[in-house]
Amino acid sequence: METPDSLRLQLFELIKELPANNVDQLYKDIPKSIFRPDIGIADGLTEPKVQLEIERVANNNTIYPKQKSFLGAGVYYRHIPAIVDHLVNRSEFFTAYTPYQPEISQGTLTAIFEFQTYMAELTGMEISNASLYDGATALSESIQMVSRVSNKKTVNVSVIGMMSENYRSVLETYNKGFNNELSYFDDLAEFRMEEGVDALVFMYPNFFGQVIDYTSLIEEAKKLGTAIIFCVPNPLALMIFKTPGELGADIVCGEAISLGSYPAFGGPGLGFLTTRQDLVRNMPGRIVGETEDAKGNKGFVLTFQTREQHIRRERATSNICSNQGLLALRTAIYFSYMGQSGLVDLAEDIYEKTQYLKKKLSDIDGLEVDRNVSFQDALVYFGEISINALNGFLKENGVLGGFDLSKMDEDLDGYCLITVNDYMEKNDIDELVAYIEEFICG
Amino acid sequence: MDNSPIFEKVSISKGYISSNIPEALRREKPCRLPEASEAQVARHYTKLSTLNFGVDSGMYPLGSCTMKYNYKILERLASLPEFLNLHPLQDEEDTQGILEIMYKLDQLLSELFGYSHFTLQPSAGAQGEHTGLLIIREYLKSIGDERDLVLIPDSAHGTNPASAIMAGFRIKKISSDKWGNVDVDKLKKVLEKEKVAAIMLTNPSTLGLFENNILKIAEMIHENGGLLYYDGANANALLGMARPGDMGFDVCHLNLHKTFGTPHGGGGPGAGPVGVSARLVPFLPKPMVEKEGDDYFLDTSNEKSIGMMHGFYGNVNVLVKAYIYILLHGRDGLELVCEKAVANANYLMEKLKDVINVPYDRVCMHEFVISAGKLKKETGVSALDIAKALIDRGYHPPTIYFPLIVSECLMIEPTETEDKESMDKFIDALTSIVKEASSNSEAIKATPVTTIVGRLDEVKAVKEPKLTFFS
Amino acid sequence: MHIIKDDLYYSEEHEWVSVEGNVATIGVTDYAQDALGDIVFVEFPSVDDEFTQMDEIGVLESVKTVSNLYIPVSGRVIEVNEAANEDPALINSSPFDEGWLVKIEMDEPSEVEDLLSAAKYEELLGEEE
Repeated sequence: METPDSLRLQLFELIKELPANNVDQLYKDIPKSIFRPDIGIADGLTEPKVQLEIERVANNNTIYPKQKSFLGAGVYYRHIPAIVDHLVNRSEFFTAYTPYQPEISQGTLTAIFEFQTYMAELTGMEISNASLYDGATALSESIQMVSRVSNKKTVNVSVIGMMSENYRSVLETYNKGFNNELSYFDDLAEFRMEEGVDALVFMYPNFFGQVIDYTSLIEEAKKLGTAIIFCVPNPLALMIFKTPGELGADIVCGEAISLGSYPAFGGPGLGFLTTRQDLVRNMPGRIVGETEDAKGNKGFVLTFQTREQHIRRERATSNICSNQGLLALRTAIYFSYMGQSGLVDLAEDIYEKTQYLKKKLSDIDGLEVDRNVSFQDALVYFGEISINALNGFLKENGVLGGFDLSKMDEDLDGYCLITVNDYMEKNDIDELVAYIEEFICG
Repeated sequence: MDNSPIFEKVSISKGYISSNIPEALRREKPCRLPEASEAQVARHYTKLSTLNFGVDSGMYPLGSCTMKYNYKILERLASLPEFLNLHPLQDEEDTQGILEIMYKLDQLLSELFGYSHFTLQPSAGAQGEHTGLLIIREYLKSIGDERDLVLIPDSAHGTNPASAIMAGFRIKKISSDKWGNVDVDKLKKVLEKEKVAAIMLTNPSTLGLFENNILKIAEMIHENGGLLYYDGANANALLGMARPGDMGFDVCHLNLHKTFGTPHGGGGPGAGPVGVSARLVPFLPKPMVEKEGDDYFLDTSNEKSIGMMHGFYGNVNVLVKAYIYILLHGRDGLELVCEKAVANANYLMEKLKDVINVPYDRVCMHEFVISAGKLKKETGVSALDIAKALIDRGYHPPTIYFPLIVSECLMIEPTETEDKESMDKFIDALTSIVKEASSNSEAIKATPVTTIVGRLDEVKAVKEPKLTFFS
Repeated sequence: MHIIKDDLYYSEEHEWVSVEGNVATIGVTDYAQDALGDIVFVEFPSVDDEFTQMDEIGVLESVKTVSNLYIPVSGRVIEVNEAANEDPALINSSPFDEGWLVKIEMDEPSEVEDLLSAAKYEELLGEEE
């Protein structure tokens, strides 16, 4: 086993082979005034001690039984098949670098090619990149894509449909550097199509879990040459709902964390971006393509690299370098394992459970349940009933309640997003309903 | 073939469409997905993994990437269900554990690098750069001194100029002197004419050489009214030995997937936390993790914050791994990491002086460059050829053709986790390649021959794009 | 050794210009196509676009790099080479003939005097190589 002493011995052996007399001489270029500062952190711990310490800290996190966790709003409790974790933990996958040397990276490259295929299929588009950081940044990148394609330094963009405050914050922060004109219309009815709008962003499903029919607005917009972007915070929905591709999208982006990865306190996430083939030169992120070697053997390779920062530098489509590669691999394995049958069944199951939840909640006096078509997240209005107190009561009974929207936006006081997941059965939903009734009466 | 995608190995579903969705909203064309058994999935991806090369597979001397060994205790502990199954929107009383780790990581990094606070939100180094530059921009605006120019050395990593543009700046290149360091005279001339928002520097430079004039440069930039940005890609060279905060860098980003041993994942996820000096703290992204009494909480009160850079709090699970790495090593361990990283690089450089051209005859830090320029003139064998030949000999190649200022460049970074025996074998391998370049350059130009595919036709990949299985 | 044709004008950006009346034909030199490697894509300006000398008018893309195309003389684009658009490899194989890029109706024909002669371009190449 390696110890600090054995390491120091190795150091000593190395220094002997060098012109330097001791290790400090290797640092002779560093000004004396700043060399070897007094750094006030503790010395290292052994592995067993670290294990105990992290277990102690982890114990201060409280998780609830998954089938009793009604929290969603962009991050969902998905059952991750055991085979996904098992395969992804192979060190050839997770300790590898970016596949710049394709001959020894066919594992990663083939899997990313599969991921690209899956995301394109899911969204009904022609091509995909190899991932972006998360849904919010992917949306920002999509808007910049419109700017490049339309050859305009700044663009005028309207977002249609409820968006999470976090997404809006990220868009606005990125926009400090881009200076685009961004407008937000939480409700389709608030928006009037006009000339001069370079792109429309449709939230689908939106932050409230609603799946809205945007077809007539899209038709109107396309006549004016407006770019159509779809932002998909819960892409599982696309297994059963009309795809952005079928609805006329030019660019689709979103958050795929729940397609094979854990909630993990919100990160790492998995941003995705799919689009039309003819827009490939303007798409940000890495792209894997198929080709051949000199003997005609098929192989995969990073391609269209001249769009990227390491070649194009200040003219690059984006500064992105490391992305969310391992999560893209997880999604590829997840899709391969689940297949059409698994994913359609899952999406239908989630949809049915959402409807069941909404029906049962609407039977409770004092609650108003959203009447739009919903997927996974259900918007419920509690009126004068304190959602905060309700959630406290639910916790006492080992249930994690829905998301109190007033935390995100004061104007949404009284609204709650209650979410179903893969693990719940009807009786878990019945139990939640019973607790809510008990709370209201008691 | 082994590297065929799964679509070629199992049947693709005919697909069916769900019928209980209202027709107007119903998906029309089903997804074309494979229908595989768990056993088939297991075989396919296990086979694919054998076509990959990770740090556990062999030496990975990729300059500027710090491919050090990834300790598996990081994986075990970060994968505890209390981390993986925690929802980002849970109440703070449920999430004290993760908040404690984030709070302490901020403190540890601040102490290690000489800053007041770190934001942990950026998902990668490039996003860290973007964040840091937005902070600088916001700060200058707040003091009524907006500037739009960022200076970047010609040796810089491509993300630097790309990030500057995304943050709304224009850029100007600063050329290097004969040592690959910032040319101070040229910098002086630029500063006489321009008001600069920031200079972005990597220290040691992308050549692995310490910026000798850093204190002077800091003085010059600050006098001009600008700020210094530290690209922490090479932080492994200074860990515990010198702090960018002490050198005068106002803002810095780190790459946790480099310096702090979190796995590279075949292209991420990484994390790029950004540290700032006191005057810039109000502009950090929100929320920050704060502590009141014994309780941790997410503070969203900072009104001057630039906003959020991530939909939630960043690549949190990666942060957990970096935290574990720091606990394991501690102050004494991190110093040793740095000393060994620098000693290893100097050892390799010293031994390779007899084998190939080492353009900068100077003590290096954690990495160094060699040039195949002369070799190419004499034998036709280029840096690319050497890289491919190393593959056949069981190595991941070093970084090639970066930085741009050295011709036929190979950048070598052994990292501290490489042992002497392993490095000696690498020296032998390079020596044999250089020899063979003179006697049988054709063989070198044909490499690799031991891999599942040889050199791939990248022109064809662009001219006849096939980016999904069905295209 | 790269080919240089004597009867053409050259720019420092490794472009050549041939003049017939007040029409200038522009392409890139043998040195340029060699440095770029296999050219896979060209972004051409549009016919009727007007430019001033040294404006960026397009882009040549190879696998490993991207290079800007500059207009060596001011004028209006009257034709772009469709054949090179379809098959950018023509630029590599025949940079001075079939690989021509753009034809310009010059605003100021005297601007060609600002350009390099074949001899001067040869000198420039000597320095770069």
